[in-house]
Amino acid sequence: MNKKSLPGKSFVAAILMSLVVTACGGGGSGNKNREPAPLPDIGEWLLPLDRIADGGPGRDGIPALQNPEFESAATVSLRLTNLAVAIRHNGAVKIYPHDILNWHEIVNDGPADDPYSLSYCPLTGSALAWKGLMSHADPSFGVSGLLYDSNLLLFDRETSSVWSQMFGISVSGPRIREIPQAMQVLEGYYGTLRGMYPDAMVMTRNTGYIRDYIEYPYRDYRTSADLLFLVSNIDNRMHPKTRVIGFRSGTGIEANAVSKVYQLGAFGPTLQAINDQVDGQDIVVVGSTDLNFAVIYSRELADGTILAFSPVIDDLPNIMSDDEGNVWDSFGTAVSGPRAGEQLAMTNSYVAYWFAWATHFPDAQIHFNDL
Amino acid sequence: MTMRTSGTISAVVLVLASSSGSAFASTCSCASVPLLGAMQSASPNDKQWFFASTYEFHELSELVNGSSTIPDQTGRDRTSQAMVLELSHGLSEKWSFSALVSAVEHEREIGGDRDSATGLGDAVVMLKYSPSTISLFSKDTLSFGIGSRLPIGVDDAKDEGLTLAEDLQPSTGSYAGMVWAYYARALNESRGAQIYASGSYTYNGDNDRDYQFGNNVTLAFGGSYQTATPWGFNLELLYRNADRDQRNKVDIPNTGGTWLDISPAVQYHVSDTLALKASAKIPVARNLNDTLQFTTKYAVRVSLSYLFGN
Repeated sequence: MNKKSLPGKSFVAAILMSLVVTACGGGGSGNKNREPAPLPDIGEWLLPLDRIADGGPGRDGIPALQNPEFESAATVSLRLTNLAVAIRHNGAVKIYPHDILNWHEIVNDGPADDPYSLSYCPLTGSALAWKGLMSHADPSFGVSGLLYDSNLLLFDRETSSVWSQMFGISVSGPRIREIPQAMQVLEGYYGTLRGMYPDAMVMTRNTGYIRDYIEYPYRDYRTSADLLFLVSNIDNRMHPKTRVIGFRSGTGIEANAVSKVYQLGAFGPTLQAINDQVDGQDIVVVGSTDLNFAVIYSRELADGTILAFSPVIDDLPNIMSDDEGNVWDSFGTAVSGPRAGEQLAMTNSYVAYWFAWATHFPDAQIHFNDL
Repeated sequence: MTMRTSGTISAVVLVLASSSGSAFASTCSCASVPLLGAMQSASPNDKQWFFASTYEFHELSELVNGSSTIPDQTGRDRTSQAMVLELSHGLSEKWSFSALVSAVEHEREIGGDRDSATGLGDAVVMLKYSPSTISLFSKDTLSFGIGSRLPIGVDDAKDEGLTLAEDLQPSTGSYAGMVWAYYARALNESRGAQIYASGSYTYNGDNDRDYQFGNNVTLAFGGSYQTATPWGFNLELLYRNADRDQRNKVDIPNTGGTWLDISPAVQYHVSDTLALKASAKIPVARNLNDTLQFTTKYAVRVSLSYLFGN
């Protein structure tokens, strides 16, 4: 949204000069002499422009956080039923509360030589994390102020390319069509994540910004059937704000990718493991309604083995075992058994509101279809 | 003596005309930014014409949580400028007609990124009825008005093909209906000291994108004083309450609320019929809906008004 002054920029000034005589000459017009920074023109878009909305705050109007402060989960005072996002990086787990993400949407974090960016869109309820590109001097992202079908569009600070969060691809700018390297994200109750990783570090409210982090900034949006921005595809099979974990067989904006969703509210009180196959890909979906948690991994290992999983109850962070006797934790790492230390492959999956999944990926299959 | 008195009364009418129109402030809301005192309260006498040209600058970079101002810390700069031309005509002793057109520039800048839109804004037409007007024989003015806002301007301004946010559009893109009432009372024989009150209600329609700016009520209370010199002064307290904006009939969070502003003004009479005025709007208190809103930090206005005919 870098903008040169529109041709009509001098319109008001011209009228002023001719009609207000000396009154405006004394200044007070507030015209700024600052020129916009030389950012590249956006040019081609992979998304239809008529479905992109200016959310109002403008680029960087919602300030992304840069290497925020953390403190031990043991000392953090946070309601256990508040939602949060967890990332494991170099063996350490960090938890990012929704309360803060609602206000900032992007956190640029990680060490200088291995940075990553976590984004959370409060309007679509989706959290994703991407590794930073070390080929760029500034690998961080900011909030573009634009929305595609209600979903956050990010921009990278190096090239000002615009990125679709839910499609996971650059949709405009010099890096158009690039797909970032995704990182595994866990989402659930803060109490669930803290229960899994009591030694985790939790992002604090000392962000450097004065915001009312206790307050949710969008009123009853999380539960209301209403949307703040129009979307192109409405699917009434579920309440729009039903939280689902969705899986896609493809990446980017592939029209032929098959997707399937699993409602977090339908897993049941204890962990349930669903060994599924979607569009020829073998996946396992593990979730619990009471934990408000779900995650999806590939069941196919690098050696071609396809595992069958069962849930592990009351042993967090371990959530499932397989038919070879391995036990796997929530980040998909085998913690015991013959494959101890091995890692399940990530899938193109994340939690979002149903309406958001349905408008980005129409014709999604619904697993708990009898609800 | 008669001539002098008549001249004084004319000057007073002009003072009123150029000083107490703030009740209309939000009735001509160009894409959510009320135009401070955009339409004057002048009700010209029979066959008289009244012309006003007003320039207004709004600094909208104040970040507010409810009633508390908080530091923005994003370096955001949000301004609006408007040029408003108004023409009023006395149709008879008691009836008059006013029309207003505006040109608006909105600008939003954060860091090096700037979005702006310039173009024709909304227009307002209003029919006024004034059963009583301050004169040699009356100490009171009472006026009523009914009117409409007309979306004649630019409401689909784009930046690189992307439609800008509703609050950056020069025009609301929607019709509105409005009613207005105004009362003033002269406090002395020369009619130079007056107090007044006014109120308005605006009902906004939807634009083509199903966006509706919040309906709003305004009240204004003020006093004006014309010295024996060409200088006159005015002080006004402005109250405004706006509903939340809506998109597709759904309330938009962080829009609407209540504002209380004070508006001092000074005017200079070049002649009995020509006046210059400068005024400002300064927030006194506000209580805005939900958790975070950018709103007016201050506004300034200069205007030139001219009474002619008959």
